[in-house]
This record gives sequence, C-alpha cells and structure tokens, in this order.
Amino acid sequence: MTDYKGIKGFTIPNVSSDPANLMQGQVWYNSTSGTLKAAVPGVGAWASGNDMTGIYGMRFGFGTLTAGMCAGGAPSASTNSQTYDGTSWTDVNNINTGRHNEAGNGSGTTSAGLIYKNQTEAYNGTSWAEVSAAMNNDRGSLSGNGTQTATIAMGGNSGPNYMVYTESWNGASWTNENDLNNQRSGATSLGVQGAAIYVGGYTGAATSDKAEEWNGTSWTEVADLNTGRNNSLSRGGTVADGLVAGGYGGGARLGNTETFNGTSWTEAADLAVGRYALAGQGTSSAAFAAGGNNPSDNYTAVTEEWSAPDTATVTITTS
Amino acid sequence: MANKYCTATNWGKDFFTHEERRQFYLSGHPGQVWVVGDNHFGDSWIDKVSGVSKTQAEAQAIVDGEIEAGQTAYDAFSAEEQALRNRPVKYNLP
Repeated sequence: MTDYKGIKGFTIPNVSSDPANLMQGQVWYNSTSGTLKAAVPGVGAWASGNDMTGIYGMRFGFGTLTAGMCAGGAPSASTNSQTYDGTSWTDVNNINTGRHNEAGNGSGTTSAGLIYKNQTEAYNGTSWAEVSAAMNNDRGSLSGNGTQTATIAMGGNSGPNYMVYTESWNGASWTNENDLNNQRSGATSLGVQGAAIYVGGYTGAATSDKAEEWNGTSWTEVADLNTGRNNSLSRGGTVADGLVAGGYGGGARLGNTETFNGTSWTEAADLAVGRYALAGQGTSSAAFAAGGNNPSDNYTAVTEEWSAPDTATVTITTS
Repeated sequence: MANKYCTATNWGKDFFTHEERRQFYLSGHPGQVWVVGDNHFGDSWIDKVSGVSKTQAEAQAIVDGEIEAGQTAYDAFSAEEQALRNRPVKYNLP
C-alpha cells in the first residue's frame, strides 16, 4: 500500500461495495468481500440466467436482454410464449399456431413483436394475432429481423429445396426482394430491415461459414465466420457491431461466440453450455441465449446472458 | 492449464457470473458435469455451487452415459423427429 501511495499519490479506497461508474485503472478494496478489485477493459462473457418456464429449442426469439421474448418451439410444435425481464421468464398469452423454426427468427419488441414462418403473427404486448398476409414463399428454417412493421426475412428450406429468397415486411404484407448469393437454411440474422447480416446455416450439403450483408437492396458477401454452424444461433447487434453464439457444426453442439465489427468476425468467450437451436437476441453488449439442444440431444430451459461492458471488474490476487 | 471436474445443479441466475467467467475456464456438460479451470477462483466457485468433485474419468463416464442415453432415444425417434435433431456424439472433456 505504501508503494501504491508513493506511485499514485493516494491510498487505495476502502469501500463496502463496488463503486459505480467505473473508470479503467481504478483500484479499490471491498471490505465486505475482503477483496482487492480493479476496473479493467471489458471482455465479453456469458453468465447464467434463470431458466425458461419450460424446456424448448427452435424458438422464435427477439427483443433485448431485459425485455426479451421467446415463442413457439420444439420438441412439440409449442404455442407457448414468454417474456424475460433480465431476471425471470414469465408466461404470457400463447401464439395462435404452434410451430418451431430452426433459425434465428423474430422481430420487434415485447410490446410490438412479430414471428413468421409462412403464417405471420403479431404481438401487441398482451396477445398474439394472426396477420392475414402469408409469406410469398412457404418455407421453414428461415431467418429474419427488424421491427413489427419493418422486417427482412431470408433463406430457409422446404424439404430438400434450400432457398435464396428474401422478403420484406411493411406491417401489412410481404414483398419479394433480391435473392441471397448463397442458398442456406437454419442460419441466423441480425440488424434491421435496411441493414442486416445473414450468417451461417446449412446449404443442403454442408454447414456454412458464409456471411452476407443486406444494404436494403441487395446482398454482398462479407467475411466468413471463423466457425461455420447452423441451427438457430443466438444473435444480436448491428451490421457494424454484431454478435452470434452457439449452433451446430462439425458434429458438435457449439458454445462458440463471435463478434462482428463491420469487417471481420472475432472469436469471443464461449457459452458455458454448448448447444444449438437456441433462441436469443439483444445487442453486441447485452443479449440473451435461451433453450436449445444440448450435447445429449435434450432440449433445455437454460438461459445465459451476454455482457460486454466497456469496463469490467476483476479481483486482484497475489497467488 | 489443468482443469477440475465436478457435478453441480445449475440453479439459474448467479450460478456463474460474468466476473467468474472472466476469472476461470468453465463449461457445462450433460449430467450436470462442470469442467472448471484449476485456479483458486475455480476452487471458490466449486465451493459456492456445492460442487461434488469428480476425477476426469468419473466426469467423462457421467457424460458418456448421458450421451449414450441420448443416442438410444434418438435411434427410437421417428424419421420425421430425427430430421429435427442431430444424433449426439461422444466427445472428450477438456
């Protein structure tokens, strides 16, 4: 401590709880836990959250870490719908048509949500309503993201036919848009209607590491994932600051997480529990990943929460 | 880095925290098996979750048993159900 004061000009603060509004390099002694702590540059990590109210995979998922929503799902064609407030899952009114989807799919918020797999349903914060307009191309395992009134949906398959179709939603109807460059199903997407990334998936012959960027008009290939995978990755963020996690690739349920900076993908900290068919959304700094199929082929209720703060707290030890 | 092995039931929130994930390696596996980085943070976490210590061989046997059960269940599914799943495959714990 004498050395610290000599170097820094002040002693290490002795506080009963960790300070708020941390600055990188800040050091303090937490008298409650009896630990010396410091604020360092933030590194993303997944922490455990509370389980969903049931065991599910292949769900529709959208929203944020503290206002998230999952609906439908396997192993049956579930009608369940539930919200997450960052602490607990709460069952809300069911969707009208039970179904599951093997890709990242779902748009909007817990007060204005949207799911789509041929039929479209909209959530108003209380209940789900069938929207009369069907998609132009009936298929499963398609991905999509955006808002309840402005969504882009892409990819998917119908049996052995893997598709390049893209459709946009204006709140009332689906319109065909320019095709993907690479046919894929079971991929995931992030971003908004006018600026999205479609990533990973299965081509019909192999797991894909491809990523394509949508500029509102057309798709352009961008840097590949480090680890190709398919089947409902958790996702979050934007085309300039994105996040994907989990999936299935190389014969394994993956925990791999990657972040996208608009140019390239970077490996980040893994999920604690590797799995595919998980649902989730959020931002690149705060997202949720819920449910999925684990390495013993069981669906799970497990939730994990992603945090990548600018600054993080570490405990300093001498051992 | 060597790892330690234990079984523990994931109770949800704060079973493992962001800070703990930054302090030591942690991965969860079938049978509530956890592989934990071998440092004092990992040791503290095992204490926190009342983990039951296992040898690597014991932990691997639990995981193998869960995967074998999953394989049996998968093989009994209809072709339609199998198409929605991937047959589980044994793997070595890190």
